[in-house]
Amino acid sequence: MPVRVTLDVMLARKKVRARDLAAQIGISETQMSLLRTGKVKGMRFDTLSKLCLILECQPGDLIEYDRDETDLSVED
Amino acid sequence: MSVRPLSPHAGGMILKIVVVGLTLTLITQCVVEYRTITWVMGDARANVLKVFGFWLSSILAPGFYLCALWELSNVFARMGRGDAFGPNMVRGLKSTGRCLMMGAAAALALAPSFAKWLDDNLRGFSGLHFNLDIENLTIGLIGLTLYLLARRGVALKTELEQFV
Repeated sequence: MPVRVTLDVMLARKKVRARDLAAQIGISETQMSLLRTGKVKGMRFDTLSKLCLILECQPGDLIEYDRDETDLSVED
Repeated sequence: MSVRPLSPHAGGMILKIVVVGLTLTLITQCVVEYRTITWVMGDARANVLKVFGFWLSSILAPGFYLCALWELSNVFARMGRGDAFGPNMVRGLKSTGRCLMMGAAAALALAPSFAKWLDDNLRGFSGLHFNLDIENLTIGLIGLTLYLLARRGVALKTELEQFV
């Protein structure tokens, strides 16, 4: 998928442990691990908001998009 | 004036009471009908089969429908307890659908076949007889729809869980 989660970079930059962040935003460590490795289908806006609040960043700092022309033809 | 919606817990309780009432009514009706059976004199085996056939033909379909209502009341009770849509809820909905389908099958094919067999004084089973009435057909299809919807619900829940 061309949308990549760059949470790891932000965690390292802000020196926050993934376990602590998971506890703060109210998700399990497993979910946090899946999120960090991009093994999720999507992220809820409320999760994104909490991450942005705690890490003091913008959504664009947590996810990146790699341009892919085939995206328009992808169906659910 | 606004009417307060019934809570799922209260709905489940009411449904259970209705099921108990309907079960008692069904048994009473069957007992009354039971007295109208014409017995075969001097043939105990035939009479035993008649009793078996009578209960099977008169109680099978409504019994399944009552089981469906009971399962549905359990689903309401779980909703009332605040259970999330999960395996237990799905199992309850699937079970409700299955009971409705089995009840419809019993009403459409089994009960008429047994009734015919009883009418013929148990002189050999003359095959399946169908009573294709709209009510039972509709109930069966609603059961099938409920069963398939519950299965679809599981797939949707699995997909939702992939969102963090």
